[in-house]
Amino acid sequence: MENRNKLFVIVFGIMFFCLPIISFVVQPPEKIPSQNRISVNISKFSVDSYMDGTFQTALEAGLKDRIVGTNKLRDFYYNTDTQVNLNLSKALSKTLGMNYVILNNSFYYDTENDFYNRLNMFTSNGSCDLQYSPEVLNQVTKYIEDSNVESENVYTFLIDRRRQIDPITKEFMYSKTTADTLNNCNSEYVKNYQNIYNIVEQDSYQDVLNVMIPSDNHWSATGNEKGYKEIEEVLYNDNVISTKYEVDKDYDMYESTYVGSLASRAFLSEPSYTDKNLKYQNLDGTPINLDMTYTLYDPLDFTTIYDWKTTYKEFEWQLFQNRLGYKSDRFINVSTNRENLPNVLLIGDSFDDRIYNDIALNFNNTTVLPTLYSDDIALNIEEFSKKQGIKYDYVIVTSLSPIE
Amino acid sequence: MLFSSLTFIMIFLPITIGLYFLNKSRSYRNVVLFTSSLVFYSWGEPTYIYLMLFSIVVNYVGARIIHYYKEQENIKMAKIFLFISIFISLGLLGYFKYFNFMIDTLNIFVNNSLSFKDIILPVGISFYTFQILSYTVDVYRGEVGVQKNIITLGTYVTMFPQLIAGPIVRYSTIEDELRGRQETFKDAREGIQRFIIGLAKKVIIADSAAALVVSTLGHVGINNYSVGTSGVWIGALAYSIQIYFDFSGYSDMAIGLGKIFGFHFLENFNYPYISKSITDFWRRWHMSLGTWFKDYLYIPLGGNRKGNGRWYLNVFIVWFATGLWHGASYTFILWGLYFGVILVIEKIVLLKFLKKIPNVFQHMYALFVIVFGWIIFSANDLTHLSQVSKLAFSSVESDWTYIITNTNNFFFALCMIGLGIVGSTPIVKKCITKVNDGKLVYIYDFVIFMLFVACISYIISGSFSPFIYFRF
Repeated sequence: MENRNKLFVIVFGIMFFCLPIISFVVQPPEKIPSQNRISVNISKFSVDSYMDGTFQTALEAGLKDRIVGTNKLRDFYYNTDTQVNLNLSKALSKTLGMNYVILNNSFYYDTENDFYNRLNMFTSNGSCDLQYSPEVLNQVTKYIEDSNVESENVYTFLIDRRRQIDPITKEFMYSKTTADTLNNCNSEYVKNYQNIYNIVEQDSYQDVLNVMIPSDNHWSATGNEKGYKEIEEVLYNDNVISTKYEVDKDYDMYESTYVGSLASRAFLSEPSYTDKNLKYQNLDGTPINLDMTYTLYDPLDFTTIYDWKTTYKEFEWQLFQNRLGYKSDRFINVSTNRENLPNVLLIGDSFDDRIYNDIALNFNNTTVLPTLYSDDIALNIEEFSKKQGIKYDYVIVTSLSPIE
Repeated sequence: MLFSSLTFIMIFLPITIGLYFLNKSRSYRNVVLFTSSLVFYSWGEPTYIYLMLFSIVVNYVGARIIHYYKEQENIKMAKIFLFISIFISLGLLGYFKYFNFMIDTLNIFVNNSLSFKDIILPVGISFYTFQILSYTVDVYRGEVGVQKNIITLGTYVTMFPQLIAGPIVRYSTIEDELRGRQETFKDAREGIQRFIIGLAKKVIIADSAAALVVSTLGHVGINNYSVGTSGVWIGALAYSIQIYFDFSGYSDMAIGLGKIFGFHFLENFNYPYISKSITDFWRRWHMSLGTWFKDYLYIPLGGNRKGNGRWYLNVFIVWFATGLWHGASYTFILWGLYFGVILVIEKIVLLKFLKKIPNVFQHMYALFVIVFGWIIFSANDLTHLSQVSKLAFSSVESDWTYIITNTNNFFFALCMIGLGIVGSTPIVKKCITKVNDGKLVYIYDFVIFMLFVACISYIISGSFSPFIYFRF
């Protein structure tokens, strides 16, 4: 027995002592692929950083990336969690006679292939290329067709989202730009509609740094402003709007160096900025008041290829909302109460969150609707607008983005 | 510093163990333990380390003076210095933990005219204050000898395995081991195994169960109709597993680390969820706190020897203090009093009745009272408690889609809760004992190794999750 005790202690003792030694001797991985970010270095000690606790936090983060086999250990964690969740949720779905699976903040129809597609929707998988989601294109096309607006009054803006950058090589992980991808796709929408603009192009790593937040794949404050100015320019040149307003945005910036487009998942760097001073005013200096209204959707406004209202009694609104995409539970109306100006319908996603107010400055009423992520859900714009009293002269798709 | 951090596992522990075993001198080893414990504490509380050192000095000096007067048979002066030591120690605890709570309470009567102070609660203050008080009181009672070496006393108070979240180790428990202890391979093996098991209880089971707590109890007040009645009870069950595996996991790690260094701390838990009554439960849950209150408050107050009226009052005081010890909040006080009332009822009438009914009903009764107790304990404030309680005793249908989609790794959490339920009974221990004593012993060692690897993968991949008892 004593020999066994000795053997155990010696083996574990060697492991306890060798683990840190090997971890510090062996070159740490440059990259954490599961979060598409550069690994964190062990920070330097200083009394100030120790006293305020930042050294301790940084050291722990550095050790997590430095420990020998860190990427394999992370894979083990993610695989275990995914497999347990997947298999149990599939088993439960079958038991309950459902043909969808619920998993981690989302749910998935048709438990086989569709599941995998959607699971990977927001995950970096290395060198795959951009692909336009047919669902999104179909939905946008349907929105526009249903809206009964003349094609010259429809504007679509593409946001260049070659967003996954290899943090080591600083190269785009996707070779095609958004525009390339769109030009090559067989969308009727692309063929038939004219006003399509590619805004805030990013041709280099530096371009991305200029317009994207450092740890996520959305626009930074600068990107927002740049994006809006480009939209404004297009609309101004076409005489859709007659004034270029100066928007006084005093940003509080906390941006630092680029750490990786999915780094915010690791809670390493929280992208944040606030508008300290957001003022809108006419050219004569009088203020423009923006009246904001948020209205919850009525689930019955939406139809799906599944007759969920009768077939899936358990199909709850909450479940349904996940299919809608961004702004899933409500739509927004912004009014400037200037009836001499036209009305506009904005269709977009999280990219227009910080610019719809700016666009609304130029119109009487602005209604903001989400891009639907699924083609098994539809919202009839004409009927919906009649019911909600929404009027529009123009339709602007603020961010037609591919989903890779 | 957290036991479940890589800083502790990869840097602090190897260095401390290395330095400790490099020298065979007992006093040197105590110095290593004392200094490393100060580093351990200052890692999370660089500012408040002086507070802990001040508390040690006060009680060191106080105990020596008390001992001096006791030898002179001047009990009156000994009592005065005992009072001074207790007053200073509890005064520090009162100021840092309860000052703003007092202001909040007083403001009800003085129309919010008193202002709060910007006070940060020093980590572990409740634990080390109670430990050091037990030493001073025991010196006064003559139950332990006075410690003349301040480093040795400091080693006892600051010893990192139990410094921040217990168990509350009495000086009498390790008095002899502070002077002379024998570190053995057997203890080291058991200590390592116990530490890894505790780590797994925390990072794999407790943290997974926590995800379900957040999406159920945490969402009451945000979306009551989605959480619903069954959601509240499932959340309460998840919290019961979370808090048990979180706290007992920490105690396991503390006991395991103690063994590596040759200390034998008393057990803090004894399968509390298999209790048949609440009286039984409190003999099994956080035993070091229960016995501390019994020996240093309940019995000095007179216990049950001074008539029923005084007994009720004593029980009320002890359970009020137990609740308040956990935190400066009305919900904790209510939680303490809730158990106080049930214990009185059990003592007067219920225990006799419980003994007559089948075991299964006794367990069901105890579990219901315990789980509802955790609902009180986990509430953010009285408003939240009222919302959760209303929902718990109504019949609002739960929207499980809402709960599942708002729970991080719902199904994994469910699995871990199932594992937690099994692990809350002696079944696992019986299996381990059987394997450990038989020919499959190396398989058990291998399982421990794999568990350690799994823990590391969870630590590096999961998000930050401090122990629940750190805030006490």
